[in-house]
Amino acid sequence: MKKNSKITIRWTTSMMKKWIFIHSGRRKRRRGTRNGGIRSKGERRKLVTESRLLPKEIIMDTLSCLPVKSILKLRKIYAPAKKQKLEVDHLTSEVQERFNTHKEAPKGTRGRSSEPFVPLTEVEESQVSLAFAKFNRQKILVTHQKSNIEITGQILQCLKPGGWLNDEVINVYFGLLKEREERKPKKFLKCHFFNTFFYTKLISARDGYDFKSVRRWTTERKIGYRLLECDKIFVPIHKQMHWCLAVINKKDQKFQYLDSLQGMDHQVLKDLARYYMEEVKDKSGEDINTNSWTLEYAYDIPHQENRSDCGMFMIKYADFYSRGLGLCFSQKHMPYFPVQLGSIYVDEVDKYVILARLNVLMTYLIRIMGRTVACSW
Amino acid sequence: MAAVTNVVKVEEDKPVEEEPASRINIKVTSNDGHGAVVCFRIKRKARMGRLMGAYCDALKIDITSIKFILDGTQIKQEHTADEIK
Repeated sequence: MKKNSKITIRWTTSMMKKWIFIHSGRRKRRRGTRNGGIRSKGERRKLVTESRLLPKEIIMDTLSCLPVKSILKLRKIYAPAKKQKLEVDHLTSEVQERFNTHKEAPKGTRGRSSEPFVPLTEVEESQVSLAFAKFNRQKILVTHQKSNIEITGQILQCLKPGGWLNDEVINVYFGLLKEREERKPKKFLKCHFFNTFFYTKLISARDGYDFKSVRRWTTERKIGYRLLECDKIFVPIHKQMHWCLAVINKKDQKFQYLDSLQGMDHQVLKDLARYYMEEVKDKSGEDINTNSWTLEYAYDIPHQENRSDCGMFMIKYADFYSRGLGLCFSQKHMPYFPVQLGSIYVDEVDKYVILARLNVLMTYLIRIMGRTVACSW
Repeated sequence: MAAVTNVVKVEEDKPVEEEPASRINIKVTSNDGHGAVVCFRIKRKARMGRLMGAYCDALKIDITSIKFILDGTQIKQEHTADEIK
């Protein structure tokens, strides 16, 4: 600092040093210290008054970057204050957390439909961002016990907007849908969800169809129930770069093919029809004829408007149909799903809570589309 | 559109031996179109990780790039043949 320069009233570290210098009683300017000296009495007074006016937070901040010796004196004054403040901060966050959980609990039971797009709470949001964080890429966040699928941060990356869903996510989501149905069998149709490997395996043979290779996939011992009792059987189809869904609808006696890009594939439904016939014959010994069943290619379903959301559409078709609802969502709702879906995997304990949140979303969607479907989770 | 991350899917076939032997024959079939079949004969209580490692070494592929599936369920390295029967 030059001799004649004015001291600007800007609270910097050097100013703080000066202030300490004054209060520490050392009048003499140390040699070699550039900013330690005070020029005149008026200047000094000004500085002192200024410093008194400053808010404590700034002082505390400045203190933290000062050498330890120089703040020894100040510490006596401010340490209790700081401690107190920390305590208060801690308390508020704790209270807030409790408040949050408290607020959520009744929401789950009572006011589900009141809140349309339920934003994730802060805790959940931090969990989501934690799951997306780089240092969690290799870490196993959740293991889905039934299907032995381990979800790492790397796998969850595909849930970011614009990402293409991978098969782990889809398989785990289908697993969760099945568990949901098992918990409340009265509210949902009895469904079976094949995993993403099923169709590939079914058509893996040389001549394009091989029942033997998937015969043991659906034994009662393995899946815990009889496949033939299921009202709907969902088969995810992956064709090179595109996800779509095929449904064996026993209830309405039809095979459905749902493609968010409105494509159609006769071969898939033919294969599934043949598979279902052989499956029934193999497991129960009865002969059924699926020729009379209708093959349905749905056109009036919600379709995607970008290049990346087909996986999301596919699992949402499955979600809606497993509840026996019409499909009443559209492209504009898609950004909400991945984030919500992301949070499903974050905490194994809370996953059902978050699934329930997804349902809140659905309830709202159904209502705004002008349909009165009683939908409860 | 979407992508599947895994490159090769592997199906594990398991013809159960009739005699009460302590060893079991396991047939691993690749699903990537070539249909390479590799047979193993391992102890029933041996971990599948050993089999997976041997399979990957034999075919010179990365173990993280493939999945092992038995009757539609993914199997993990710490499973034994008895557990997943």
